[in-house]
Amino acid sequence: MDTTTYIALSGEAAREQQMAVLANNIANMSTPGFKGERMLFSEYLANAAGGSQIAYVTQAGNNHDMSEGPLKQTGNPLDIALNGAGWLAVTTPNGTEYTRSGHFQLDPQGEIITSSGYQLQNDTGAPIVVPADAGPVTIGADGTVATADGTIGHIPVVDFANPQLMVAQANGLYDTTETPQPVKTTTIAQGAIEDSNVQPILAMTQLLNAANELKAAKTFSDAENDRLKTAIEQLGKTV
Amino acid sequence: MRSLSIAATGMLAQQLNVEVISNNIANLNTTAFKAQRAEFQDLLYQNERNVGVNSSDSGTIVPVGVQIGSGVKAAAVYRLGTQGNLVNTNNALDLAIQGRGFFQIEMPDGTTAYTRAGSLQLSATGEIVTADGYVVQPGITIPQNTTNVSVNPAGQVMAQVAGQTQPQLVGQFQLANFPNEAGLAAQGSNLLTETPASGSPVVGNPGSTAFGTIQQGFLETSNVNIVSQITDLISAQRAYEMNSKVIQTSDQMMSTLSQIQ
Repeated sequence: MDTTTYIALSGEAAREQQMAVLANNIANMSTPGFKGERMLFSEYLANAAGGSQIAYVTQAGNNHDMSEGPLKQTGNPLDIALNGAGWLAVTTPNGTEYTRSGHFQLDPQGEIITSSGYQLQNDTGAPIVVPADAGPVTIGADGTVATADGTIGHIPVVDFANPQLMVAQANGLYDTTETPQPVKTTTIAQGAIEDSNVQPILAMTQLLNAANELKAAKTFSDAENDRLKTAIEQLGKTV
Repeated sequence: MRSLSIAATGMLAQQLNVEVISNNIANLNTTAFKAQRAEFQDLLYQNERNVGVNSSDSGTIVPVGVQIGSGVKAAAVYRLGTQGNLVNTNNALDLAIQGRGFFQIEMPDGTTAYTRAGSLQLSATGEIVTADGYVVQPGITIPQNTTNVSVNPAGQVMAQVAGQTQPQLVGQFQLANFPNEAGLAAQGSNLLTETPASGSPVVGNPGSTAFGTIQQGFLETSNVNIVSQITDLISAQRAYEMNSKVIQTSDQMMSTLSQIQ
């Protein structure tokens, strides 16, 4: 069987996938709270005739780059950025999900919601309600939400033992089966949002790399094609 | 190649970003204009290998899955409700709201619109109207032969009529507050209207709890911060370029593939 071509093919397929991940990172360069993805590949060993092993490339997974994005001042009192590790809990139709995308607004009932309409949770998982006749809202570094009339709630920051197990759910939300643990060290900055942590320069070099690696794989399959052609010509020659 | 369509969503998003920024810059000198921001969200993910599933009979799990995102979308274009600067105009009917609240404007079709742009005028009958001639509710008529109009921070309108010693109280401005100001729908001409997202208006006198006060002889400028708009414009342009580079690279990769012999 002609395994050489398949090895090159596995490399080309991997590059196609990597391009999709890179394109998604670059497309989300201005998405608040977005965490870049990194593609991981592993080798897949197959036994070949003669006792040797052949290594194909296969997708192992993509891990989230959990580094913090830069803080961007917006001046909107309901924009909050987390300074340090951790997540904000929001109530969605699929249960509690987590986000670092810090743009919030009020719904007609005065509940603090995300731009998709999901309520930001307080310590007990209930929404935080801002009274209609209250003045401006202030959010303290520890997550205390207050108006001129006093405290109206607290925004908890939670983290997980292994954030890599979090699954991206679109709309800046992540889901996980792990149990949330409160974080005390992370502070909340009001009037700012965390920008995407995609590093444009890095993303562009990775992009060029993927294109070059694809070219290398192509050169390889071209060479293999030549080799086969020559072999057929030479071996098939009648003396 | 998925990367082509993913990069296209990125370009569309940045194009919208530039449109929002250009509208902000265009309205730099619009009275009481509130700057807008485009907010983006990631699109759905394709799970090619699920994280956390068992990878063997002995209970080991897959530590990282394969998730391929499909790009970006605009989640919201929202108004920043921060106060604009107040500039002194010395015009008696220029009113700025310092704090929360909107003037209520009666539209020609009978509905109510809301604005913070307080450059008001008098109609032929002496009624206080907007620059478009719409009546500011509740209709306040300035008597003829008035030499001087003064509006105090609590919204009371006093007219000094020629031949009288005491100024006379001719009306009281009222302001409307919304639970979610960002949910109001912009109608152009500095007007906003109520939506299900904004909630119902709460009407009150200026200066009472949660309502701003009225400053006569001042106008609220737009709250557009030109420096941040320009930097946002630059980063949007760069992001657009990088997405186009992704398309170019994907195209190059496809042409590489099509040349395989």
